[in-house]
Amino acid sequence: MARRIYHKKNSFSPKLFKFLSFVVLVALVVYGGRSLYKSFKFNPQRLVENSILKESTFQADVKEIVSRSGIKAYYFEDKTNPIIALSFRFKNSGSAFDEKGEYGISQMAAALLTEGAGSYSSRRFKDILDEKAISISFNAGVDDFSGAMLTLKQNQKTAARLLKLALTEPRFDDDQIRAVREQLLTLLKQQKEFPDSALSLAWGKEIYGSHPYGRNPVGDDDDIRNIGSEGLSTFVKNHLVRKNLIVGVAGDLSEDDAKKLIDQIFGALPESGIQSFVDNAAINWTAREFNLNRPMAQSIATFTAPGVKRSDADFYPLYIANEIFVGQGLTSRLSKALREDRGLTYGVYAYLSIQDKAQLIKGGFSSTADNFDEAKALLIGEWVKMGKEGVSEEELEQAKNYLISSYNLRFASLPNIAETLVAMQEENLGSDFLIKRNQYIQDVTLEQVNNAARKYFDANRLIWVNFNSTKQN
Amino acid sequence: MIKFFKTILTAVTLSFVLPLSSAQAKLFDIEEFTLDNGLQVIVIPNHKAPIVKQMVWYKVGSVDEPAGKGGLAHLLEHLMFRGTEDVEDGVFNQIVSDNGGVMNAFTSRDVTAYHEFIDITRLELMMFLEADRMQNLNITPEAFEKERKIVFQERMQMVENNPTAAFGEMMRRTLWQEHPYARPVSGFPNEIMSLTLEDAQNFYKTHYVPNNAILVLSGDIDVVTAQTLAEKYFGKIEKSDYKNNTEFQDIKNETSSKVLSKALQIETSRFVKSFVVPSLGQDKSLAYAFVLLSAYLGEGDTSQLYRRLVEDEEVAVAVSTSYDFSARSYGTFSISALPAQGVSVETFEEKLNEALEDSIRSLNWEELHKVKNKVLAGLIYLKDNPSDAAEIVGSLASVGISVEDIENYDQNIEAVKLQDINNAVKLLRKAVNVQGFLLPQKGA
Repeated sequence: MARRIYHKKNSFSPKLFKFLSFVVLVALVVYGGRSLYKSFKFNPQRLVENSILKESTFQADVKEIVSRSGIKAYYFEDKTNPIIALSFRFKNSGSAFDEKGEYGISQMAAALLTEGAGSYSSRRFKDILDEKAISISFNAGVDDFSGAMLTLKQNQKTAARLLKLALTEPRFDDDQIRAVREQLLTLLKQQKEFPDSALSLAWGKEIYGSHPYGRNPVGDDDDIRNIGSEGLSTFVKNHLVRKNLIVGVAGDLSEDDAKKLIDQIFGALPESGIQSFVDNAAINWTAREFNLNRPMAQSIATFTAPGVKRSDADFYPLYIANEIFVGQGLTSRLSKALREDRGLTYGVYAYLSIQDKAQLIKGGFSSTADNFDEAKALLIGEWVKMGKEGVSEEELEQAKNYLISSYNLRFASLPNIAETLVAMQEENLGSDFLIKRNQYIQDVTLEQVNNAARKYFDANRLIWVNFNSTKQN
Repeated sequence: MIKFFKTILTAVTLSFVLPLSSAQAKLFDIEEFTLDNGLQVIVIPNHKAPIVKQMVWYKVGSVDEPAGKGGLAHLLEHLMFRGTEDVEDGVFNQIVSDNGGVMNAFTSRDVTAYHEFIDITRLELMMFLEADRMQNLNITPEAFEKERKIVFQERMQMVENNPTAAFGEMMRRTLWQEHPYARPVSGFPNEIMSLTLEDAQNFYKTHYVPNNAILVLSGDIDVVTAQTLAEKYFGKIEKSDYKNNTEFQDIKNETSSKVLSKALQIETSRFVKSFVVPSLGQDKSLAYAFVLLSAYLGEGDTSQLYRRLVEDEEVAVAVSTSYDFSARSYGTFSISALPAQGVSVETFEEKLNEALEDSIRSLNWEELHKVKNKVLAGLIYLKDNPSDAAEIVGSLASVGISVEDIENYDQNIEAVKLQDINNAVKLLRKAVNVQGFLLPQKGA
């Protein structure tokens, strides 16, 4: 039948038909073969699906524990190596809380707590740390005063004893105060030498004005010269107290041993102390540009806009929007526009800065003067576009894939895990956060991201603080 | 480095990362095999979490660049992200990102390394990508132009914008003279802008071959799986008749140089003294002695120089020593310090030399035992993070250090005798060296 119709309509001879059928067959084989070949060739998703490396049943089992003396902590057991990592934080004890006339005291205390305690001189204290491979360190952030301990399982008792002494009976000997003072004064000078740190100080003043966040986080030259053992002891008494304490412990120890360890270290701390209060930063968000000149090879730009608290409903949507705007890797909109497509800069970045008294989106880039205006204009263009148009479904999917698939990387090291346990408590995320987190990311909708983009990527609230290069290349 | 992050700018300096074990049987529990095409594969199992770090180390770095082609090895490192026939420009980064990987690369004097830190379920895909770009790199002229600009901006940002970097480069030139270690890895700005696509292609074709590379897999993987996958993805790449022709000049002149540099933006004085000494590959027993000598003299604030110059005599705010033994050619022993304010160059030099002599004189059996313990006590921490372990092992293996020597590091340190240290000191006294001060321009 078909043949007859063909014959009639097209006057095709059976011979020609046979020939054409052959041609079609060959074409089909070639086309099909090519598709088949292509399907063998390279398809990232198929490669992952067909991989012999399958997903394991890895679960980050974090427990909330309470020691006999009543100290709450998060605990994570890992017996891969005979190591124990402890992280802790004293809230509201960082540099922003340094009292007038004592700017730099939290930094000095952080450096001095391991410089001798109880009956141990500085040298004896550090010799024991060396012999037993125990690491004890302190750090004064802007909001909090934090610490960390890393020890072999076999040396945990010694480590606990030394850390307890450092927290409760630091010596603050004159010689050690003098050495640390010189180091901090040197640090203050070095901040001026490097364009990044010098700009960071100018940025702090422009954004925060007279708020404590606008001060040099290292401290004040005159104050550092005047701080002595009495002030330092008062700092310890008032800040290193149980009321301020958050603890995370990870590694090769049982739940019971973790509780005992926590009591050994922190059990004797006073319940509370006298502390000052720091207001939320009142930032003037009028769009503006503050330019400084400096003779250097590249100009450096920073941009700042209002951000969100970790507990805000906009947190995940904005986090994802920023990931798409200029996240990790070189695939973000800004990395493509400024770097990959045009070679204007080595790198452009932005992150959500979440501190207790201020939340920002902060970013920047550097480039030679001939590229600077173009790069900055492109960045502003992308910023405005993000605010107006938001992101696409595909971009959202890609960002979620990255954030979810990269999640397990945070379990690489015990000190990092211990630090995560502290952060989880500080932000009230709950002990099951590590299990739920990927779902939180998955649940974010396109509408939520685009609402957040509209709200926060606002060109009328974008502040630039820049160093302009005055050197000709 | 291909990518710039505000916070991640770590350099793998071995004297720093190998600081801290009681006598462990093996340092990392490494498994090792070699494919028929010559690719060495190192597996470091760590099953703490379902993650893995893949690194591909090519035994080629800036020392292998032709004359006048400074920055070529580094530019090629960047171009390796610019596409192959199957994976077009931009797609590599997108695939790694879509799969939650954290990737980067770096170039040093001796080696170039590429790495992806990733969930174990995505490792095969990453192995495909690395194997692909080992053989199929396809750089378009447009991509080349863009990447050369990026590399130029990197030099501007990391070196030219750093007020201490010019001093560092001058110190290296003075120390290494005709030796290829004298040249900066980044290349000079005019060199970078004169590099061509052909230069990059030739460098790639010559050096990027399986028998000049090491694959390191560190994390939640066993050696059997690693072998299956390495064969599958890298096994088919053809071996080349590769021979590295780079010549390292002997450093024979017993020169001792001094550099005095003043810079406008500098506010605090800095001191550095560097010595050309044997690397681990050149002389094992001396190398382990130098490891201990450095730890004894100036690593940490329990060290001799720190206690004397910073705590007792107050002529420095900080002082430290380091020994870089991981090199294809010579190693470097360095002393760095921040002289205290008001201390003259002459006084500092005199006090340092006295402290060095006294410290060396007081090094006895008991002190040696103490410093060995300090070096060995915490080695087990190196097993904690699979990413760090990959970097440490790869950086050593890629300059020719055997897996056996890496695994037996603690025993080799244990075996050092007082006489070995004395030999190291003797060598240091006549070693080629450069001493430099970087001082503030104003008021000086």
